[in-house]
Amino acid sequence: MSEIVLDKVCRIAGEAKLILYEEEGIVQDALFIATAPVRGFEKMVIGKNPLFTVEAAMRICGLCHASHGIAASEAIEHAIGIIPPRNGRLMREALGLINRAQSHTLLFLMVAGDLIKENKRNEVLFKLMNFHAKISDYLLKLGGAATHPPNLTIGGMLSVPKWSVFNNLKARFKELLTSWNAVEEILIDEDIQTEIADELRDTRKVSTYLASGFFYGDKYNIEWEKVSTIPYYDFRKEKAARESTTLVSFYNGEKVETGPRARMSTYREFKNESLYGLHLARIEDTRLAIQRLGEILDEVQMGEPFRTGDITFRPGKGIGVYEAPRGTLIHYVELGEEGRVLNLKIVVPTMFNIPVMEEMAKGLSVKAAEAVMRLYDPCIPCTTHVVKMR
Amino acid sequence: MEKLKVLHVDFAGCEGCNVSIIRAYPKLMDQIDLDISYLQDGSCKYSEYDIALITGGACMNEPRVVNELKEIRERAKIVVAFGSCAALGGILRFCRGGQAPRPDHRNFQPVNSVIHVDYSIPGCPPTPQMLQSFFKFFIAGNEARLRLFKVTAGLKKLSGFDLVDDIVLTGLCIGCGACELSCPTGAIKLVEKRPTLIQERCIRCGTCYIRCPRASQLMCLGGEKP
Amino acid sequence: MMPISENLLGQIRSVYLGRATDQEILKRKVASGGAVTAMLTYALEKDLIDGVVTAKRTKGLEGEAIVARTKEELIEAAGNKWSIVPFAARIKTKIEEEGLKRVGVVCLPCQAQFFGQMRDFPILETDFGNRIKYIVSLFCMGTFAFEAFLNYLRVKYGVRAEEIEDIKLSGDFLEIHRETGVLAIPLKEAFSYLQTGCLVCSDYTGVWSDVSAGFVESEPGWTVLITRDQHGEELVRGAEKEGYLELRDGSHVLGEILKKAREKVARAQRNMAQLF
Repeated sequence: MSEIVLDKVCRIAGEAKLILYEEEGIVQDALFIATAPVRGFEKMVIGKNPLFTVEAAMRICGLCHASHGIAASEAIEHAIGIIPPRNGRLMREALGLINRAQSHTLLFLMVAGDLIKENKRNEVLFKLMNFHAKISDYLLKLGGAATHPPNLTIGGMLSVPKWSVFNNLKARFKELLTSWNAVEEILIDEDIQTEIADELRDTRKVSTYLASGFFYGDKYNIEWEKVSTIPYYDFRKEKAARESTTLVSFYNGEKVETGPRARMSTYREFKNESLYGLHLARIEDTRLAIQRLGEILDEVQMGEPFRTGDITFRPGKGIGVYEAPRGTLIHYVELGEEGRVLNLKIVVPTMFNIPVMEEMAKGLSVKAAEAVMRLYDPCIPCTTHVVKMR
Repeated sequence: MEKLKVLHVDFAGCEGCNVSIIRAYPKLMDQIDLDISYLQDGSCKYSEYDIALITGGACMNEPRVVNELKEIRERAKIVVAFGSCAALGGILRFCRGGQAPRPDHRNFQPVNSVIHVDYSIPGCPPTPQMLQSFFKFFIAGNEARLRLFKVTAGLKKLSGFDLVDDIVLTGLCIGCGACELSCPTGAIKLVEKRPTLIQERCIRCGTCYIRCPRASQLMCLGGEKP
Repeated sequence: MMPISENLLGQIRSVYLGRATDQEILKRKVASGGAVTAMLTYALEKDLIDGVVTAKRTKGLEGEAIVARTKEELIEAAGNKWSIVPFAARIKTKIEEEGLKRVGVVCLPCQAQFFGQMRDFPILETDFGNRIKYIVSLFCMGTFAFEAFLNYLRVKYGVRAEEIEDIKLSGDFLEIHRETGVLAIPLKEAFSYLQTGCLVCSDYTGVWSDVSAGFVESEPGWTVLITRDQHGEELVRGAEKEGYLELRDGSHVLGEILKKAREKVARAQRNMAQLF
């Protein structure tokens, strides 16, 4: 058995090393070792005001920024006992869905190097970036910025665009859908796909799924106590695993897959059981997200409040559970005197997915195993700051 | 004209600046050959580059990070720190370490703590248009317009707190209102014609400082770090 | 100001002396040739821009940001404002509220730097530099710290803020017009009440603008126009071609402008030495 080491896996979000143990070209086992330094967001916010916590949490990741903002806001709201008004909740959902579309778009770009023939990759890049620009403009207008939207805050929306801006976004929605359709068309075109895509189509592998909701997330749909976390170096005993800077998580003691395929299978009767299904599920996830965005724009009632009035920060404990692009994201916060943060713990979807990714690589060719790592969309910036849970 | 060979490397960042760069790329394709992880197939394409675009900050507790930065400095003619984390520390200025599994990762610095940086572009994140503008002026050789970024490359931190200390409290503020429009989190508001800082919203990105007419003037007077 | 080139006066394309052809503009209490009003009227009427953002004096030494869409509104806003109007944030609101897509901005050198920088280097997604078509900077020796100035007027001359009807520049004096008469204060005295920040500023003409406009003593009744780039040239020459503006060559006044610019730099350096 020989070892193939990829010191810096390219085309993933962040820094990681991949070690594949292969025999006669077939992967027997894999080690996914994240190497990004631990910036320590959980420790950073201790003693700070909850508003800072939301701003900081978003900057954990520039790909799924809004997800962290939403989960953190939900956790803090739960701790201080408030809920946003209907408009605030709808807008927050909209911002999250736009972020979901943005994040998936970038992932499609990254896996294009595995799934799509080389001569078509430039065309894919242009179509994806065109769509990304269009959807990012929605986040700019509704959220205040296309990355790290400042309008996303505790209690709802910090500020709301004018009615004319809403109308303008609604009027341009058709254009957005057209841009997406062009992307979807090129992504599912099997004629321009590689052998890796073929291999993935032929490999059937299912998992136990974890999903807390479809468009948003629901803290009552999962049981917090069933989540367990250990450092990666306790999970894998190989010497190379010692340098990993992440933790991994299990639900009910089991490895669970979370993400678009988990959501689709749990809530939408998605039936494709091949590994290529990960790709199809993500495409479907994006399309449904955009459609729901369109619905929300129609549901928002101007003239009604977008943020809870009278927010008082005080001691309390709270949990926020949100369906980030990559899967179920959990923020747990404890507030102390003056409402300052005593404790913050975050469980990110990639922590659940890493053990699953390594399992899925078994039995595949080396190239396909690498592709599968990418298809699970690991987000290293998110994963490298989680505290060990008791 | 031959395309510029540009290498992008990300250190301890959130990837937000990377997204800006890849978004800017379609419009820059004619002028630059961008080697970025999102489009790579293996490792770096070339051994030497015209420009290295660095995003994310340096974790000083990891020797390999320090060595990698030094290596990039050798391989690239010009180094640009793109985004507040790389340029001025940004949100990394709040990192304190103590977190499992690596509680020893305590010290995150902007890139110019390790290597000499030619241009620093703050922003959290800077827009794709900013990168396009930078290249436009760089390729045209317009050093005068890029002077602000050259001077920023010599600084280690800038924030709303610095703006208040250096410009408002010294009485130099003229009330033009530029800072209010330069804050990504809405931490600066003009109250009775002078800026006030909402401390819990300031993430130390430094954008307000470099856009203040007074502050940028003072920065440029100081000259560049030799 | 942040230097943009080795030249104290910034990049110079051409220097003109301009005067509005429209009598209505000239009739108004404009100190120089009314060229800025004329140029922007041209731009509005020929649909090159859909609004002009500038400051308008409300009373005494205060002002507010307005969007002018017609010649009349522009004329109303013309004239010295004396104190800076922090209209950067208001511009953004105004632009969004009124859905303006291409605006002209008339402002001071410091604001011109901000808008020029925002246009050249859009760091934030909320920047709106791409909507600013023309930046017109006025020559500036400083703005009043009007709270301090009003206090000084009250303590030394017994003039109350509410009494002030108008403030005019007349030769070497600042005339304070009130119901009970005109109080003339020597400029030198009044200049002590400029904002501290203005006293360290080194930019007289506004080097980040497309066109800078001002007044020189040797050419009363004419506005000096310094064009710095293609936009500025287009605005000035276009206005001339369509008959809104009368133009002459102005290179002979450069020396005068340079003298004032040097004075401002020298003042700035003196004051900075005291600060640090």
